[in-house]
Amino acid sequence: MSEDLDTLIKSLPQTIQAPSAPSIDDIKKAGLRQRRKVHLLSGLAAIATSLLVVSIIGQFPSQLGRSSTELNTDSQEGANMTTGGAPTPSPSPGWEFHVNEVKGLTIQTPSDWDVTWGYENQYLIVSSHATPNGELCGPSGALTQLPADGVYFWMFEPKNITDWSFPSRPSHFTLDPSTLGPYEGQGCVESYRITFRDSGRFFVAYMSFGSNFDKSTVSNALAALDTLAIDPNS
Amino acid sequence: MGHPMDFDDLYRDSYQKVYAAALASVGERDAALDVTQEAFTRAFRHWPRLSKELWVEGWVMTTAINLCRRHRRSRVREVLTTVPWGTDNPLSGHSGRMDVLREVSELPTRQRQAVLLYYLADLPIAAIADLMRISEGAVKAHLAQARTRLRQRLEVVDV
Repeated sequence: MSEDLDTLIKSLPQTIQAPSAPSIDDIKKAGLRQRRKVHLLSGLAAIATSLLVVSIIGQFPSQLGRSSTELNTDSQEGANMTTGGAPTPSPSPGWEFHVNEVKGLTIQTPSDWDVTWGYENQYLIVSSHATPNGELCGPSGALTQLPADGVYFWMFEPKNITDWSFPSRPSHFTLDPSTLGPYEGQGCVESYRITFRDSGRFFVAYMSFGSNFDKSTVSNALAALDTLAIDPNS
Repeated sequence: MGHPMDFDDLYRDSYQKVYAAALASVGERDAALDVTQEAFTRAFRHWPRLSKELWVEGWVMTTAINLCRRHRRSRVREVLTTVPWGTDNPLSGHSGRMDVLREVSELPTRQRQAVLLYYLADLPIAAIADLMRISEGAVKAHLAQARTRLRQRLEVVDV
């Protein structure tokens, strides 16, 4: 019976009458359009960041007094972002790049996840499922609609931060159970809080999971956050 | 292994399999068509580097399966009964394969993904583990659980 089952499964493509495949030329044209869009965004990121350099330096004068070792370590941690039209490495299979040229950020996520570049307190929103966003404060509405096996995380840069007690970005992000709790603007849903500094910039991230998530959801969420590339010049 | 693959060859040889995987994942013909097309589009977008990878077909199929999660509907069982057969239906009177497709589509997500990559993309366990970002032991467990469930639920017709 095992052999029959294997044969039946393997023969599925032959027994399903697939409609005619789209023209391969159309597929290639669409793929080229997507490729050009990613390269254009990378180029725009380089232009935008160079225009912001002087004003950013003016906002963080205290960084000039820090040790060069500390600053060099931070910039090295964030130096993995491609700029200036350099070739973008292939994402992992089934993953995609998302680029924000204004904020100088790039992140990879599974292809079927939602990524939104938002505004002040939620300017990067990543969700494993389509969730509503656009809330002005915290994502309490989106979190109440999070599916049982889903994850929703968001990130922002708090303003006027010069507190170097933000830990340096780790090589791999993990969840600290002591940070789990309900936070302002999140309703009754609990989140893990992650703070880190990278490339002279300070970040706060919150990560919430559905009521019945599995380990792969957690690993994918943390792996996505690990891919975050930060332009030190933004 | 290692020589760059030709995209035209990939498209010709894999379209049917990727479509079957998409249909088993999403249960709707139009959605499966959209997802299949999008998966190959993304493959061509990354082609300069992707062509040098070992398991390109598996990459495309994994992308399609992941995209299907957006489209998955609860009407899988109903829709699959309307998938048209060819005019020359060699399986007339045999419901075995449609039941297989239906039961595969109803497997838990991870089991279904492992089954589709193993049987349709003909990938080794190590490659599936890499694409699914799980251990090889977990892949084997998913496959074993899927086979057990399929054997229990199918009325296999000897062919």
